[in-house]
Amino acid sequence: MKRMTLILGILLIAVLVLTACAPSTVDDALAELEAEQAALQNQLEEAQADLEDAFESGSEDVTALEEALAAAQSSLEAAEAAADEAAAAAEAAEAELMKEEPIVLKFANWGGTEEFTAALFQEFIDGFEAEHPNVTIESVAIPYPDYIPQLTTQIAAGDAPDVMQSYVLYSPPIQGMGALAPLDDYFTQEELDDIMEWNSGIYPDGKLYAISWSPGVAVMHYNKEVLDEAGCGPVEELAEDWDLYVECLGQVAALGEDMYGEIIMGDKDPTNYFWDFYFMNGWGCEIWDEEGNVVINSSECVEWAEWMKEAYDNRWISQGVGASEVRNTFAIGHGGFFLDGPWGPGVATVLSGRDFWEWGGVMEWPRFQNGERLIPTSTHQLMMSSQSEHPELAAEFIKYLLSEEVQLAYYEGTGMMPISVSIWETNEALQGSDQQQVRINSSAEYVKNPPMGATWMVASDFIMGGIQEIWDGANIQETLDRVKANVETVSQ
Amino acid sequence: MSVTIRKYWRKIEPIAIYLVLAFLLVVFLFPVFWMITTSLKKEEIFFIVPPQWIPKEPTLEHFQKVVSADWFLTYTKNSIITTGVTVFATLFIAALAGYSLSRFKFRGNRVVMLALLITQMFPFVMYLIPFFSIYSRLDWLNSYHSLVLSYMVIALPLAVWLLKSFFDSIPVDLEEQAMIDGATRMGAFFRVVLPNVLPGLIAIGMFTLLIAYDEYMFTLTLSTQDEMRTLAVGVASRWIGLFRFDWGGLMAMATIMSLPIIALFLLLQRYFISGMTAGAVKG
Amino acid sequence: MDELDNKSTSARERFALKLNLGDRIPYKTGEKILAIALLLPAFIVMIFVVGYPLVYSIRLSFFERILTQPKDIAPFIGLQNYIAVINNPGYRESWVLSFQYVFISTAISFIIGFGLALILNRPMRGRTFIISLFLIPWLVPSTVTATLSRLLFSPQFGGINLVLFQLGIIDEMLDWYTSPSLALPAILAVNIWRSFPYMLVMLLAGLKTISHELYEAADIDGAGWVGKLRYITIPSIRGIIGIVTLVSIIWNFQQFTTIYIPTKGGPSTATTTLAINLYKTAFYGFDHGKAATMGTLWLLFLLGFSALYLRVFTRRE
Repeated sequence: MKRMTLILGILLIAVLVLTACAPSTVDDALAELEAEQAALQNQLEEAQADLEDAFESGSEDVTALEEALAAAQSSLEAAEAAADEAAAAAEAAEAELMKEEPIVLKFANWGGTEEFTAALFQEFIDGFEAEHPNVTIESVAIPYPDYIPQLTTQIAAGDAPDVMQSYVLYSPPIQGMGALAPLDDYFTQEELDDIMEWNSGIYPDGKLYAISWSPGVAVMHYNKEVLDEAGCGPVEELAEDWDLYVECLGQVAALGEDMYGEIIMGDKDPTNYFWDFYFMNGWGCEIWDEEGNVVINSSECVEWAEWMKEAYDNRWISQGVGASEVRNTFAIGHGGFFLDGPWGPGVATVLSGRDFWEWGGVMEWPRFQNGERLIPTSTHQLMMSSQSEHPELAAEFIKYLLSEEVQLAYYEGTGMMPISVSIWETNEALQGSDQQQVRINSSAEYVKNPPMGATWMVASDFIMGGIQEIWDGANIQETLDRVKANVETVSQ
Repeated sequence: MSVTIRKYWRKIEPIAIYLVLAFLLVVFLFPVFWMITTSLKKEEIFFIVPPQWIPKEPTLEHFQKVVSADWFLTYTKNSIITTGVTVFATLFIAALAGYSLSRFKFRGNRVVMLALLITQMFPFVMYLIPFFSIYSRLDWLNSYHSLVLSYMVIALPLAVWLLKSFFDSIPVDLEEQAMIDGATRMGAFFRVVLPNVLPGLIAIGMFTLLIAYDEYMFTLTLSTQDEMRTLAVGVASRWIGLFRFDWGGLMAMATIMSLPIIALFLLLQRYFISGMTAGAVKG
Repeated sequence: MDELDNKSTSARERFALKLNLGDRIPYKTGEKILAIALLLPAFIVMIFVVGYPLVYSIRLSFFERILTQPKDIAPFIGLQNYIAVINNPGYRESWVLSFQYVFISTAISFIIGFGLALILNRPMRGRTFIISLFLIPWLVPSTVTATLSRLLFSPQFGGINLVLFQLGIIDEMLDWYTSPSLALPAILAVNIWRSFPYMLVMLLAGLKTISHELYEAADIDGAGWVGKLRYITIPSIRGIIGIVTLVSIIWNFQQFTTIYIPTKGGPSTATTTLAINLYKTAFYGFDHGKAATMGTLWLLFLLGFSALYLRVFTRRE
């Protein structure tokens, strides 16, 4: 008997513990469970009382004992069943709770507006929503040319999107507005190390405000057919010898009045730095020196500007080709060289109607005559708003977009290269020499962007204006002096 | 001028005029011609030098691309609704206001006129942030009413001004006559005055239609969700991007957007003219 | 009506008697309410929608608000924004450009529109159809016009260069949008192309309100077309001309997409009108205080200008 009591007692405790451990977040469910427990307790006490009675009655009446045991057992089963029910009730309660709070996360992006990426982005969103049934991702699709003005409007009005697609040019002004939340807490150092160019998102205060999403390092594309026709040497040599490279540019230009050596942007677009300003590195021309003084009118810069003028006149670089035409001009074979991000081959294929690799290729970045090999980047990034009401969820969405699944889908759909080092090392499709070229270019020793602060768009506007005036024949030193004065007005 | 020259001139005058008009039409419609032929060209030959005047192998692929896009019907529906409501609301409100300003002399007349126009004298770009902020708080973002109101803000002052000037040129005798005959002021307005400014109404209706149909900036800002965007936003944003400048699609969509409007105006033009010959202002 | 029978009265006199410009019906007291009631809907819409943003923006011009330099409270800085803006040479330059752009655009589109309206005001076969054809440039959406102009003026692929070249007017392809001397004419051409139909429509409707009898009387008096133009046509619709051109001027100041999309204000600053300058100040430089300042100055100028302009055109004789 005593043993029986002991077992029953342990079972009782076990059941109590079970019911107590069942997850319960709602007060009603809790109250129910407590009632259940009370009922169970009563039942078991009754069972125990029965047994004790049976025991005290002294009868070794087996039937009585059996009955008592049976009663105890059925109480136990009831208790277990009750415990299961309780657990189920608690789960249901939690699910109810989650359904009551649907969350809408706003995701600003330009991918949704472009045919190139629209369907993919919708897939990404659907994928995340499938994993999180109570979350709806509202895609705030803003066309690329209007991106900063629209985002600015939304931020200034206090209604910023939770997660934002961005890139190295667009992030600094947004960060400067205090609109971004630091991402350091959401990534371990290991995770960061697996992401290429992750330190492009670190700002002067040492925090990470934007995490790289796709490498945007420039890759020098070339048109095999055009170069052959022009009689240029092999690209490996051109990449090492600046004089040979320039000679090739001249040979391509000689092919016709509408042919250009290297196609660059000629209009005033904030993205100009990617195509035009990197030439500065060949002459050691800087916009700002280490102390932050504007030195765009230095003698090095004058030399650079002189070369730009010469190149313009001789059509070594394109004349007046604007943002809307650069890729088209290259795709129809009016240029020998064209730098673009890693998505270049994909876009060129679409625009030319033929597979890019049939008529073109990518080469190592040409080395300037001063031995420098420095490449601009336009790394795509993801950012999180400081006004977001669901920072953890936003961070989760960002991490989802960085997941291997999404990255590979992005690559297969558009040619946008993955950002994770681990994918680069393991994925077979990326082992080709052309793709690896991208990776080489991305390594820190080659990457150099102008220091783009929050006022970069205005500064770039002045600089490009100066270049346009120089192309038009203005005096170089005077123009650069004026550009310096203008840029100073916006430099901190 | 001697009699013979005048006779001669009278004979060839119609022909001369037609020639001049034809020449002007060719010059002015050239860009539209270019737009339509570009939309029919295959992508590969867009940028050949020299450009082909008329594509040797026309293709409808761009049009198919536009019409089969999943957003096309939505944008069209939104454009029709917002434009239609804007036109009717604007014409109605502007006609009432214009009539009042034209007929009733009160002290603040000129002030009222200028006050209406003040909003046009301030850069629209500056309204973007306050509009977004207000509508966001009212939860009116991504709605038809925010768009219609924004369009009306642009169109209404002009409509009032222009209608007022049309009312001004209708002599007061007409209403006075009608009122002597027993009509009320508003009765006279609807029955006598309005029919006479019908050409003006139609012209300003057209103007308002274009403003609403064309409007890009406010629509883009106030409609962040795709379901509430219009054709004007679609034509600008769907084809111009970071990766791609789709000239074919852009021109095809531009053609699709323009043709119904042109057709509509063609119809209205007949009405406009017939309204003239029937009830023009005579003595 | 008797005056018409007296054929010796000059057309001008007859005109002056007929048109009753400036007559208002003195309203009866009950109608004052009607007058205000008719105006009310318009005012409600305008004040409700635009009143606050306008006042807010003007007020903002007295504060320092640079989005990328956030401070807890935007400090009140009085007229500092105004001083900084007015002293900025780029700002002054953009005013000059705006003047050039606006006035040349309005003037030429008026001349074209008026000329066409006069020609088309007479009965002719196919008139309706011809008028509709001339309206087409206006009907093309403005964003399309802007990008289309990019294509047409492109040095390599552009139709304009092609035509001029084949007609022998130029001997090499011109860089319209990247040459400082050609960019402004190019965007002017685009804007004129777009806006003359508006002039045509408004002036045609205005011409329709001129009574035929005036012209008949003038014919009898032996007036030629110049005389008719000077003494009947233009005076009759002087008010309409004034308002239509004023509206055009005010609108041309606002023009943004047709300039921004092709040139973005370039090359250098050759097409940076006030509207472009303001946009860049607000959305590249993020300085909303200065942008509001520029807007307020713009408003003040146009207010004064409009008042004067209207006085000229709506003088009662």
